[in-house]
Amino acid sequence: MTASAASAIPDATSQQTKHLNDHRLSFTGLSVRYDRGPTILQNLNLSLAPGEFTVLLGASGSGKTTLIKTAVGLIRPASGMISLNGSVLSGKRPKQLRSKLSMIHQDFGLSPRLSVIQNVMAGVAAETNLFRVMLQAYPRTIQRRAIERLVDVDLSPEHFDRRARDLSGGQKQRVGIARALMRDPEFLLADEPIASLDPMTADRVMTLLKQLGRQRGIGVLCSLHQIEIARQFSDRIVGMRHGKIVFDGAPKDLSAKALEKIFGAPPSPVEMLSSQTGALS
Amino acid sequence: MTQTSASAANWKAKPIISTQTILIVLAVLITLGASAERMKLDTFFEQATQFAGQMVGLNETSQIGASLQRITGEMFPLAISEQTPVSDIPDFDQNELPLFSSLEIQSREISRLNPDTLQLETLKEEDAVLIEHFGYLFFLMEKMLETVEIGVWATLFAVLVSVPLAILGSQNFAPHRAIYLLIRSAVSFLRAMPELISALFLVLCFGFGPVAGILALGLHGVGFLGKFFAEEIETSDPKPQEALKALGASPLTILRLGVFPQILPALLGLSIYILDRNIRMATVVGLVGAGGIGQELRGRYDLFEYDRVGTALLLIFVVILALDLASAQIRKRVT
Repeated sequence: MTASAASAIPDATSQQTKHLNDHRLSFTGLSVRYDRGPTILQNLNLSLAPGEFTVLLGASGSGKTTLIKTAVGLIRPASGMISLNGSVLSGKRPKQLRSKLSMIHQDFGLSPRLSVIQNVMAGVAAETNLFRVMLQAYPRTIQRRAIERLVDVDLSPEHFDRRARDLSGGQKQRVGIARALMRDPEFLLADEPIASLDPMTADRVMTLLKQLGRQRGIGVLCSLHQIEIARQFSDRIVGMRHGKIVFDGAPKDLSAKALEKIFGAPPSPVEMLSSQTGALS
Repeated sequence: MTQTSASAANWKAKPIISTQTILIVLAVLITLGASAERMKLDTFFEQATQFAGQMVGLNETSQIGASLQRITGEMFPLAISEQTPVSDIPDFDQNELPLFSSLEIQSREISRLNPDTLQLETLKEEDAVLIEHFGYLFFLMEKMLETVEIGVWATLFAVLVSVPLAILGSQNFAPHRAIYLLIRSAVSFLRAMPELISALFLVLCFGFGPVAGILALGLHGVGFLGKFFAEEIETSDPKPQEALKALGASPLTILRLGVFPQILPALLGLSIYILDRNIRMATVVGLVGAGGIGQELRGRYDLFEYDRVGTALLLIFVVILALDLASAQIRKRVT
């Protein structure tokens, strides 16, 4: 579905606006709490549009990662619901709908001793015959698709057979993105995708994410803590603090007052500095 | 003078040796003394002193010295060749002798009662004997190979059984806590059971021979590998696993893509260690009749043929040494 959208880039935007209302990822009254522990997300409401690049901005512990993990089914919400195109995702976990969401991880989440191409093909392992997965004998179409995705993320063929652990941080995250794209998602949920990358590499990875989202009409929800990068790349910024949304607006509306709401006290010199250099680990 | 400085003036350092320490040391000494008597350590000291006396020439004989002399005297020269009377070999062909062998005529004297004279007379009989110069060594090498084979099969058995057990017995992949507990306790039981004891019983069930040895060592190996493999699965990096879970992968897929590639070097290293151990222990379980060179050694020991026992011991030593070096090298490479 998205593959056809990708091949028809010129009218992708017009298609987006047409389906804007039904192709949405929505969180309604979402609450997450750990067993007898603190509440991480409190009655959260958020709706994401396809093709839109949304940055989830907040300090550590504000609930950004929890929101993303809940969306892909890694965490079960205490209450509320997640819906995609009007169909509910939570509960019995309908596999087909779930496969429209892909996650990109802060620490890449690659199997270090598997090859790059094996890691990318793992993106559709859940939809592939178990026997083929065990033998790592994927159908030719899947192999071809994995190569296409790797080319899309600008990774040259000499890396395809290398072990994932032998790649640089930036290359690893490209592989992570290629894997996420394998299942042709409608939404990409990136959890601090550049947290462990140097500023130059981080910039390139963010550019790639933005570009891919736009070309393929994929909605991106990207959690960040770097204010400047958020401003630079996003179409929309959602600020989180203590499990609640405290800001939702365009990057230009992100005033000092809004930042104070998101980060509590005015951003410390360290935060300002790190947001400029783009790295804070 | 303030109160603090007054109490500081009265402060005394603790004695280095307190009454408590003296009492504990006394109690330990008394216990050790009682135990030493039960262990008959006094006899040992007596024998050792005698032996030391003999070494420096204070006394003529000692029990330890005599035994050592007798055993080493009989052990050397080591038995390497094998003699077989030609009459015992069916279809013997004098023109086609086996490799490294020769024929020898041996004469022996036989005392016999002459029925006519009713007197004991000595007769000389001549026998053709086939001497295979390295016959016994070759025989032992074949037995050693059998021992190595027992170790290899036992390891194969242990690895194949351990992998599924480890998956079901790891906290993160056990389908139910009861299954986890059941498997972990079964594995502990196998580890606690000494292989020599289980070999004794398995010999009763399966008869003398390699099968009892393979099972005894294999089950003990499951006890080790089942635990170690499970611990490897439990402590493997959760990040790739989480990424696969987020993609909707099943537990089996997560194991195949997210767990096993990462822990494979560790599993190989552990398996090679167990292989090394199994080959060493295969000589020991042979002693109770579970096949291999151990069984041969035990038989010769019971027949007081110490020259053959000596050859077997030497061969075992050489093979274990080579194995130790090889396994250390291989483990260094895979991990």
